[in-house]
Amino acid sequence: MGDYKYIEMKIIISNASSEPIYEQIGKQIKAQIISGDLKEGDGLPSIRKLAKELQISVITTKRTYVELEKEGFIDVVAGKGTFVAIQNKELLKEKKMKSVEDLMSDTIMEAQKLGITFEELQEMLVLLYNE
Amino acid sequence: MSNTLEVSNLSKSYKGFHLDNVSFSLPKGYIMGLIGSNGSGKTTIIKIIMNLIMKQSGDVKIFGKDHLANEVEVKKRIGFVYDTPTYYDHLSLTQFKNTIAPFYDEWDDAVYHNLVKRFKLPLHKKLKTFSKGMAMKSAITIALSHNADFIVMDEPTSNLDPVVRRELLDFFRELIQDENKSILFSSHITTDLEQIADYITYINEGKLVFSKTKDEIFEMYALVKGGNELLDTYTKKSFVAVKSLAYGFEALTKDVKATRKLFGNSVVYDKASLEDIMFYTNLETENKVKDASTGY
Amino acid sequence: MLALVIKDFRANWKYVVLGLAVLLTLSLSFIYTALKAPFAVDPDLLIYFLLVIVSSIVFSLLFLMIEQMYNTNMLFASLPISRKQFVVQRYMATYLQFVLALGAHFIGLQIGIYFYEVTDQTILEPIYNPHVWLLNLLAMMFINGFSMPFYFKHGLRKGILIIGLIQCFSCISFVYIMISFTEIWDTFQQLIFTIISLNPFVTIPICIASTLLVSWVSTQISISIYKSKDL
Repeated sequence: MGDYKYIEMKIIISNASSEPIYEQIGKQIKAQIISGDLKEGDGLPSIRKLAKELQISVITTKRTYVELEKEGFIDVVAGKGTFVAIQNKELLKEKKMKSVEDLMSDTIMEAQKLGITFEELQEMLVLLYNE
Repeated sequence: MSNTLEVSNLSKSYKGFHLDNVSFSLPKGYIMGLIGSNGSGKTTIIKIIMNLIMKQSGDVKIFGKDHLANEVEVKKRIGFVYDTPTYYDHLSLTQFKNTIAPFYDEWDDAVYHNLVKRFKLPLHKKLKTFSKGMAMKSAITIALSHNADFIVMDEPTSNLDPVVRRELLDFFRELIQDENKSILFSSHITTDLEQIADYITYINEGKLVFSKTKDEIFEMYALVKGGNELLDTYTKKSFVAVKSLAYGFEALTKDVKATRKLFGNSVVYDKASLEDIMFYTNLETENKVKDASTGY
Repeated sequence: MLALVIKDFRANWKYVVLGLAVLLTLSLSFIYTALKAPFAVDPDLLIYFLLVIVSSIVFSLLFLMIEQMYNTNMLFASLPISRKQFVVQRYMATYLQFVLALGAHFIGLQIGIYFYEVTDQTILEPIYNPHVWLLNLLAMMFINGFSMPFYFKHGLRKGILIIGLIQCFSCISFVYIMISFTEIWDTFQQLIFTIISLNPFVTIPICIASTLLVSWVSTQISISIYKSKDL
């Protein structure tokens, strides 16, 4: 198998964020797969290459890929490389829903912390969606 | 996964210093940083691994082989960089290389010249005219020109300016792209290790504090800041050590989850740097000594 | 092993050349100074050869000094070389240095003889006797056998005091005793003559055998010292 198709991938990590780095990367890769920026069959960089380019530990990138593989986003093929897994349309829809659900949970938690009520939140949602 | 290095129950005593039962392993293909304050035992450990110093008890296995029984065989695959090399500094780099190269079966002149070019090293000037950065780069060049699978370095970046340090760290990162190569180096520049290490082994006063992946360490430890009124004997004990300041305390916790259970959101959590971890662990040891002497 | 033995010469060839030049000059000047009055040369050149031995040993010490100065034992301990190999090479390199030193002395003498017309050739006969040079070499190796273990145990700084004291002190006191007490000197000469007049086919092998024995024992002691030394 020859060189994989060169893919454009954008990953920005923040050391200052409280979110662990492997989660940050995982989120960004997932988002790009879900949005279609990363297509099925696209080759991802090896864990070592990714670690070098992001200037982080190989163990972190390895963990990221392990999680992504568990969640069915990527396939790690021994001897060949890592590729974006074929996404079942249903599953993909589910994953898209899940990613928005996660964002919603974050928002709800923040709202609760700040004492914003469910009604106030609903109002906000309607307003913003219609923009 | 095989381990490049396995250290088990290593002990060594000097006058006034005691390396006590240290064990840790480095899997193949990774970088391990050895941290600890001066005199904590990091150099001793490295010297024992290289058999420059005799261990008193314990085992060291390199590439799965005992480092003493197979000393010559194992050293053929090790590239060693020791502190500030001042060997034969009346020689030029070429002359020095000609003295060393015959001892390695796998010496590769092509690799050597590549590195010389990359580091822009002068071939015919006396080594004593080299700046610290160049001296370190030449030592690294020599250490890497015989296809070594295990690079061992004692404080390689300690005397270098930040620009050269960064250059070397990038170089090490590149080196480790080859998953057959492993690197062990000791340093007191914790920020370098935070950048580049996969594993970190922390030695304090001759004892192992931890040997873990960098990720694990930063998930375990956190800096906790809160009001002084939250402190009492019970809560104090939950921390590694506490610094009580005028407007609040700062403490290090070894178990973020437990601390969250105890304090919840009444405190601020911050990422602990390696330096913080070292500072507070050292403080913990000092406190223990103080407590012991006051009879608590 | 070869690479190890010649490392001294490879890395420090300037010192080698300088050292040998000094030795050569010493022997050369011997021809010019000692053969004239008031230095009545004893016909058997025993004092000369004593100086040859001492100066050659000092020449070999030069390389130990260099090793100490550059801390190269640390460097070589990190190379794929066993401690045993390192000790053995040190002995072999030292013997090679002795041979070179003797060569330099011999050449110095030849140069001196060539340019200075020596009236009484018989004085210089021992110089042309290969047995004499062999005995010199053996004597150096013998003495070296006693001092090397100290070098491996204490390094040169501490060891040199012991080595230097033993060797220099014994040489100086030997010369002093010989000069002050002519009866002892005569008896000593008689002893040497008797030994020399013995069948060289008997004495030479005995000397070689005892020197090799001392060297071997010394090497074993040094190996066991160095094997357990912390650098």
